[in-house]
Amino acid sequence: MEETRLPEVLRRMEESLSGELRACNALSARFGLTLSEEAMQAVARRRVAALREAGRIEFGKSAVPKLIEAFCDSPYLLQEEYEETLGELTDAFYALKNDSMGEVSDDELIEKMRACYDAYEGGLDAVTGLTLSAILRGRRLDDVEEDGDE
Amino acid sequence: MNDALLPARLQRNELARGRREAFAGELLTLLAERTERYTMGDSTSVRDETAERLLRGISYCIDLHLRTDGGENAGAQSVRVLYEAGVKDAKRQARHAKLLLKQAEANRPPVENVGFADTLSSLPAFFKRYDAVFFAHEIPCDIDYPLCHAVSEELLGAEYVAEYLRRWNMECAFLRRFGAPLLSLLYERSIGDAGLLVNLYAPVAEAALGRALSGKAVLNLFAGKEDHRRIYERVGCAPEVAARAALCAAAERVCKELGITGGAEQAYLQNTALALLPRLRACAPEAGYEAVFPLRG
Repeated sequence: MEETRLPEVLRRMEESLSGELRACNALSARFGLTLSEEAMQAVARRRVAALREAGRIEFGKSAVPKLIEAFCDSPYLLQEEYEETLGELTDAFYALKNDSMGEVSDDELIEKMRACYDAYEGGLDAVTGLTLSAILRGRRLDDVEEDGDE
Repeated sequence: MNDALLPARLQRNELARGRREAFAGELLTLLAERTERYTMGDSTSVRDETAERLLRGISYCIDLHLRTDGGENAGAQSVRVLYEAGVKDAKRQARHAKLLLKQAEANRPPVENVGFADTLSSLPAFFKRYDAVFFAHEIPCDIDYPLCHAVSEELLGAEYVAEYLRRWNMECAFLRRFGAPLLSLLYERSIGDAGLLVNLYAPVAEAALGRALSGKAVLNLFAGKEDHRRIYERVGCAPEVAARAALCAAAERVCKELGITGGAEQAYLQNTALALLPRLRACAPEAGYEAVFPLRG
């Protein structure tokens, strides 16, 4: 494998998240959750670090607003730990995404993460400990249930 | 803006600085769009390696089109236009290569080895797997059989495969001028085991050139010890200019006797002849000529 030559400019594209997060505040505020300007920058930095750690690149819109949208109405998510939890979820999302080898879509993965988060009453360890096989196993069970409903 | 983003041809090109920066920006926008298309909207992110592959595919298509088109209006055209034209060029190359493969399948030589047969059976997979839209630079099949004159690694994708098959067909056309028993005997004497992953053209072409160098009919292929000494006098120990002239004349003679009239085939054989020069000058006829010009007995 040749050494990657994607330049730093691509990384800069990843850092334009703050605008998207500002828009998310309008939605999450309905559930008592907001990010300050400082927190938004911290989340943006965390996202860049998570992408680097996972060896991934994200173009255009980020998956972080999707995470906020999916989790903001969880009764287990509190304002005091909102920024830190969002950071942990971001790390877990990109790591799991990387493990999935393109088998799981963003939306499907976020749905599983949310289900796990609620099932363990806001237990982040359970979410970060999710494995691809557990996600795919859930998918097959869903398929069986759907078949049974027909 | 980093010039590493630009296709190879444009890194050398005299694009105005302003246009160069705009070009790199357009390239990134196109990469983002192609990535979204690649993931079919299922994922906002891809692995670094995938992004790299996608970028290489785009850059290769642009580069291919600039080479095909002459690249005179590179600065005036948008990245998207160049890329889309490059995809068409890559698909055209693939269609051309497919025709060459049909030719290769229809004109097999009288004797084959494992490497030859395996590569020929692997090549159809290239056309099933080749993805000119996303990864036009890749060669998704195993090409193990070594040609006498390898294709430059600067060529990629269908362009590489087309050139590989063009050379393959020239080599096979040459081999088809000889009978299977003669070829089998020659391989037995020169390479020992035709089942090895070795080129089948080179031993035959070199043996024919040896016959021509010693002034004998080329269709026989085998040499005698006197022939070795004569070849040594004409090439091995002769001044370089004279040796090169003798090799070129031998190539001409082989072409004439075998009825090779195509310019490309003639040039290919001439290159084979000239490649003999360092080998024939590196050893005495008694020490190494038999490996190049096998004896019959």
